[in-house]
Amino acid sequence: MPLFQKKNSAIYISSRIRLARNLAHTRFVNSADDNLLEDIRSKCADALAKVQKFKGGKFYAMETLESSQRHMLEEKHWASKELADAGVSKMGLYVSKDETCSAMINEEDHLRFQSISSGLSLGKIWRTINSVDTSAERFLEYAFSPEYGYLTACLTNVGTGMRASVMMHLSGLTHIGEIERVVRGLNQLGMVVRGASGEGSDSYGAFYQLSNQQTLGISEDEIVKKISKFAKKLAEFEINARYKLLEDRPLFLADKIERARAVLASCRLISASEAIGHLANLRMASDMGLLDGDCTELLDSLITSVKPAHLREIFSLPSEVSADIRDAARAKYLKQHIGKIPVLRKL
Amino acid sequence: MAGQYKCDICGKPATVHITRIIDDKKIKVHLCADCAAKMSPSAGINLPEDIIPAIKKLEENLFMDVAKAAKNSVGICPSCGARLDAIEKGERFSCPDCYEALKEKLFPMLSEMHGATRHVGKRPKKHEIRADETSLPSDSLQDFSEPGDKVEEEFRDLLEAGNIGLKQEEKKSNAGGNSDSEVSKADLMQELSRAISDERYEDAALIRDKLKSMS
Ligand SMILES: [Zn+2]
Ligand SMILES: [Zn+2]
Repeated sequence: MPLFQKKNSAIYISSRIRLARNLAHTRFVNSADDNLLEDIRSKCADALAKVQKFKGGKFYAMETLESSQRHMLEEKHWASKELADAGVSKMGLYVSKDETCSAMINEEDHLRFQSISSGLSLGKIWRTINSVDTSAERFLEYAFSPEYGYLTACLTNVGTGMRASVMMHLSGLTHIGEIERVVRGLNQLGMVVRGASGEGSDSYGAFYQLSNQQTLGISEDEIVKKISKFAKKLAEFEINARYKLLEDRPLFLADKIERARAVLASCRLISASEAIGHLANLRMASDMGLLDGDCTELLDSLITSVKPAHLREIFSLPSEVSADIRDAARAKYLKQHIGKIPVLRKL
Repeated sequence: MAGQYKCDICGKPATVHITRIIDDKKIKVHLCADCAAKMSPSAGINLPEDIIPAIKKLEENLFMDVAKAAKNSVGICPSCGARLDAIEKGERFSCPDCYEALKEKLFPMLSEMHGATRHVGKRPKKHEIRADETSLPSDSLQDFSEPGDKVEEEFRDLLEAGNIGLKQEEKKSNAGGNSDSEVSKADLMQELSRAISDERYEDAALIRDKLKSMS
């Protein structure tokens, strides 16, 4: 299969682990008043400042940031949507200097460590976040029960408090119409699969996040193994779907790719979701080796740049700006860069 | 808060409190200034006869509610005062001690949600298991989840029953077989939760063994 010079290695976009922790003998966030929240935040921030990983890092008190700044942190995956949306509460965010590790304070739990890395790399991330957690524990007493593990505000996180996830690019499965069945199958096996940027399983651009549901009665290592294993399985299905498209419907595939380029090169207004949808098709083509050169990295940076907060920063747009102006800026930006994307080889 | 009565008629804070004996039952009536004035223009405490049935009804309902609440109640968390029945219905826990307070109800909730009831992962240093302790009693109902390979097998069946990357003849002929055992497994899990919440521990042990033999 000469077209498949590449290994379809970009199906795994990024891996992430989140650990939920709470302080012992302290009301959870949902039942704490402002004074207590303030107290929790300073306790956690003081402790994190002493953790090697966070030395020289940045601390943000969320209510001191503009909404656009908060959403920038969200688009960089350091803060959750909840943290970015809530402007007035006593939430906090610590980001390590090397930007690989963050800690949300007073989100659903007192502390939520998070570490992200590109590709399929859960084992490496677990080692990082485990050592951060272990050193933070020297300065904080966690709410822990020998029977139930780390105690969390929501029963869905109790035990390890760990959510491991892999972001995957599944355009092939989406185009052959199998994605829903795959998602359903995974759900039945206790995995959570979510569209990366929309509600529910709706995912423009076919980016999906696979994560564990079970947090109790399973060890952190087992979670890492289980999610990695399912991610690999899922990638295998995606590759098969891509072959299938290429063999059975080469015209359909070529149309998706050329249409994406045409729209991005000549549109005047474009929404983030439409842009990301087209960029995802080009990304799949690049990853399959169908383009005359590899441009996966460029496409990844474009996918990030067209998101609202990033776009606002690139064009120094004021925060109150009409949708047309934003969509026009996005179209202009894409037109500037689309020329760098190599053309489609003959299918 | 506890001493603050609401008007029995309109719900505003009550300022007039009347106690009367009706049919050998002591009935307390609380009224706000407005309603009290309407009842009795002379500001006296002659209750119009037609309001008495309404109040009796109210009283009956109140007794019933109290009885129902007492029956359903699993109490409150001694540390934070959170209502445990609300947590049982899916609200978040209010403090770490809510877990201990809800202990009796936790087992079926955890089994249903995680398929397990005991933590097996990382522990903070001060909770580390000493070498002379065994980690878990051997008969503990700790984990019903299948080993990874079984899961993977099912996943493959599920997806390859379709046409993704597998030829027709390789398909499992008994595609329904797996889902049948899945169903009865789910039933057993439910049965187990029920047995535990009814405190039928012998039944629970039997169901547990059945579940174990299935995985
Ligand atoms: Zn009244
Ligand atoms: Zn409590």
